[in-house]
Amino acid sequence: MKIKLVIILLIVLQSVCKSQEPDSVLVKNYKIDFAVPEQPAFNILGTNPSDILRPSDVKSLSVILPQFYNGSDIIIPQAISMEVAPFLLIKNNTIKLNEFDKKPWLYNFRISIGTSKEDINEVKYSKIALGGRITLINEGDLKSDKKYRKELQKLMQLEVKTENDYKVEFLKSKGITMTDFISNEEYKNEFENYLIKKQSESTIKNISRRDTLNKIKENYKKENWNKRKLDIAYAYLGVSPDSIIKNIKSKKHSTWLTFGYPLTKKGQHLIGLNYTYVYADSLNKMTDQIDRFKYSTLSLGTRFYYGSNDFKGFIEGQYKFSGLNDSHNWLLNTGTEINIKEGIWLVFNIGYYVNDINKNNSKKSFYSGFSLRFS
Amino acid sequence: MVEKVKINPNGERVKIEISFTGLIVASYEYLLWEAQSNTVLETHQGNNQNPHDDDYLLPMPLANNIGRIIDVRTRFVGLDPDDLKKYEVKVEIFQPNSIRQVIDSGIVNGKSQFSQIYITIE
Repeated sequence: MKIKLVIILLIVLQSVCKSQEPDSVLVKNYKIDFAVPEQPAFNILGTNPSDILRPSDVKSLSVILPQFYNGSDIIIPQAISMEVAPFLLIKNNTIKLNEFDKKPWLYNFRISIGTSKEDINEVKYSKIALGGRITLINEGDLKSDKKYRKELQKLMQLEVKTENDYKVEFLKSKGITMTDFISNEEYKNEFENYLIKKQSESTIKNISRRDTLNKIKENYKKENWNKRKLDIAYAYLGVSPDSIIKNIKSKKHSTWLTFGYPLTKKGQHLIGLNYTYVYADSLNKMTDQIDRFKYSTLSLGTRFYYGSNDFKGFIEGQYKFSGLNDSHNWLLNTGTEINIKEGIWLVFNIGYYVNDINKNNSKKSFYSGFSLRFS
Repeated sequence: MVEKVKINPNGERVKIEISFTGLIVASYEYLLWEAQSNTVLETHQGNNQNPHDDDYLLPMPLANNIGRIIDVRTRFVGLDPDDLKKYEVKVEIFQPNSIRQVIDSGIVNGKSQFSQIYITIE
């Protein structure tokens, strides 16, 4: 019941945010919020049993705060993860469009860092995670979409030509030369007003008007949120019984490969592969000492999304083999993603996990997740 | 932005090069205005998709260009105004042993913006 109430609250919140759109559009008129941010460092922390690392947009900074609602109260999250695109940050002031086109993989390379706390046998362990990822295919990226850029370029060309035609007309109507024009601020101010007047009279759409640009952006979001994407990622997880760096012991190395493609206009299918190398400790009863051993896990997941860029639901199935006890594990997961405001996402999911399905003592459990994501 | 640039009327040909910095989609129009006139002598259109086709030569004889005005008006949109905010429109005037740069720079806001550079040739 409480979950239903929260979902209703979120839908109301989303509609409130929608009604405030003109202001937010003025501020961030060209921001494209496609997929919610997912980060390798966040996934390896293990706050959610799904092993699919969803391809997401490149942002110079994105943050994930998982589990901020415990079923009855809003709580301080026990984990945080953030991701940065370092080359995008470094080249912020000097990047050129053709340089970006030559090495898009360099600018979409992202590193992430995450941390969380976990109680094991009454000891509060600190987890620290480091990750990196590269997007090899991203057909829904506005920055590298040449067809979309060409459309903008044509509109810009039309506008600049129209403005120059008005400039010639203005000089002739005033009977002045270009030399007179550039040496007199009054003429320049008068021309700007002349331009505004002419543009308001013109039948040619002026693309500097907010609605036209927003229309292009909105159409782009609608048509491209589910386009083909291929991400490859790696993350490392270390665990420490205290918060001291030198006491960190390696816990996991994990790699992901995820491919997404459109299924009709409103759907997307993701296929994800994850390989994880795990370090574990066990008490040796003969020597009464802790022994370290290693094992691997391999997961194959598939997830279907359906909806619009702002509001979509998903359903997911996953098979996982664990080398720890040669077990076969299954996961069913479903949920929803809501883009409540530009750059802010709410993700809710609920799932059913079956551990070691082939054995009589297999464990089955429900789980849920509720996270807030910023990009 | 209005600047004055001196050229050597007896020197070699003068090349004007237009370039852009920033993750922007830009289209521009280059006009060469006759001195003390409202007549446009040359018009060229371009954009920042290909950086190798944005240079133009001043007509010969060079002495005739004294007093003429180079007018570069650009319209552009930032592709990632949240992360990549800065833009720069640069007009470079090359003559052997002489390079002069005129730069207009600022912050992208996600909307269609314009840059206007006038250069009087002396």
